[in-house]
Amino acid sequence: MLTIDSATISTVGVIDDNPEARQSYEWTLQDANVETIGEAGPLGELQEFVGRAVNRLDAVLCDHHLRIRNYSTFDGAQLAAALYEASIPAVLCTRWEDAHLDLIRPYRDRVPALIQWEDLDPDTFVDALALTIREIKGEFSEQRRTWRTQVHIADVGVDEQNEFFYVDLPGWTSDKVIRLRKADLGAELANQLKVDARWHARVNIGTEDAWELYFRDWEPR
Amino acid sequence: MTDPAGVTEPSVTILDVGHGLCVLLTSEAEVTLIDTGAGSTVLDQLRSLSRTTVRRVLISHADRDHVGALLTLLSDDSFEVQEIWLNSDAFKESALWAALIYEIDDVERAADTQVQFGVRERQGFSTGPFDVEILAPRLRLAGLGAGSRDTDGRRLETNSLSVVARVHAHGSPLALLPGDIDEVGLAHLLDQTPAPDLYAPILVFPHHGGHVSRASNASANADFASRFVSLVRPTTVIFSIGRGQHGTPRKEIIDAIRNTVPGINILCTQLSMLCSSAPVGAGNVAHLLQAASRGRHVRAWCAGTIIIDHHEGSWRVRPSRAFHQAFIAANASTALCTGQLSTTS
Repeated sequence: MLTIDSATISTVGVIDDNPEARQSYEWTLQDANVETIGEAGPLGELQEFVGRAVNRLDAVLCDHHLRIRNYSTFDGAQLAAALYEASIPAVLCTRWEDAHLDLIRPYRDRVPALIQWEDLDPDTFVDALALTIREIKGEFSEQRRTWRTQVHIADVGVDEQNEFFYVDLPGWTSDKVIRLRKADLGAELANQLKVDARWHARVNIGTEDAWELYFRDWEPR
Repeated sequence: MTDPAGVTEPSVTILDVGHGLCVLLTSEAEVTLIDTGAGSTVLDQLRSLSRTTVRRVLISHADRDHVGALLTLLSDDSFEVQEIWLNSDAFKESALWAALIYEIDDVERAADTQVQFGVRERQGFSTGPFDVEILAPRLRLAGLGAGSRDTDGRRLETNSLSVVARVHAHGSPLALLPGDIDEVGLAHLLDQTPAPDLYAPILVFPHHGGHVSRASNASANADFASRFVSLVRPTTVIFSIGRGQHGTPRKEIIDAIRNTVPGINILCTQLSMLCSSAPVGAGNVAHLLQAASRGRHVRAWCAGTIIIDHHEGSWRVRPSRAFHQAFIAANASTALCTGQLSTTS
């Protein structure tokens, strides 16, 4: 059993479509002094799963890429965000963080901690869990707190499917360009995108890493 | 045992913003910023101090590492900025400059913020017990602008036009904040009779201890550093740096300073890779002050955020030299500030 910021964590659900990976995660978490429940799947519908988790699990560790072999109808980032809304801390642990970054980023406002697969150990799990528990209570770290800042639309729809737009953040420490999905803006905002426009959004510009950035409360101009 | 923690008032805070600069002049009545760094460190610091109004922001020059966070300070509804002092600079980073000007235009039109373009020598302002004296740029440099040439044919860079501000406390010089001034800017600053007195007990070294000469060679950097500290005559020199970025502070600069002023107190906000390539141990925090610090999350700190406050009738620098040196002894096997001096300096 773990106690983190007066939250008691006894039972952690482990979610991965691969039984061997699930077992490996369970062994790691057991070293962190928690009981684990490996979820063999299929997981069913998202809200049904969250409803079943509420009285059964104190926390969850899940992979992102779950839509394999009918294991799940949703992705891990979607699940972690839904659990966060139900006040169940969930940590995403995946090797898909780069390949599926576009799909994970829209949920990062409710997924405080993403551990890269090779970095998972009892300490990184407990640190990630603590970060998530504090955030559910409304205590944001400097790397996760959002500020309303200017977002420069660097380019729009240059891919074949016209699926993405590209932004940079003049107030951030880096001039890196970030790729975002137009679909995550919603049609009304996406239709207003223009190259070189200067919008505002709330962004966690305290982070050092581009892949940790998340955006919300878009304001076109 | 820990160094006395937190910000007291009045104080001068050199915030650990990584590679960049942000200085807070804090008094009971108001906060003034000289540069803002980039990212969120200054916002986090203001939030932790429960300061939502910034009386004034003075920008030394329009590089991202000095001005980036001003965009968010102006954008975010949590803060009110009453006055901005800056020089026009559409030359060096036009995209950043455009971003800033659009944001300033928004707040100025909303009549929330007064904007003063054209910062130059012989201007100044007071904030709490501090008087800020602008020593540079000279009118002729501000007028010519970055990208032009002076009458000696030297190209004026953004850094040449850096605002040089001297902070006086209770009427006496306390700190010199020269932005990223380079040798051309310094030559123009000194080109008057009598040459201005640059004395200040605390110097935040220009350009984070990176190249300060056009030649970009070690000898020219050392000459500039030696000359600069001879003019300022500081007892403490501070480098606001980002670990692993731009190879700062350069060894020839530290050596020149130590050779020119033996025994001088040198502090860097973050631990230079030149001082130790090993990560800082998580427990080595006894000397760190309770203030926002960008290096803290990524275990990159050396002195961390540095605070100059008024204690028992005089101004003191925290972390204290003893605490800082204890950290250096334990964590920086090749420390530039205490190690073997180069024989060429």
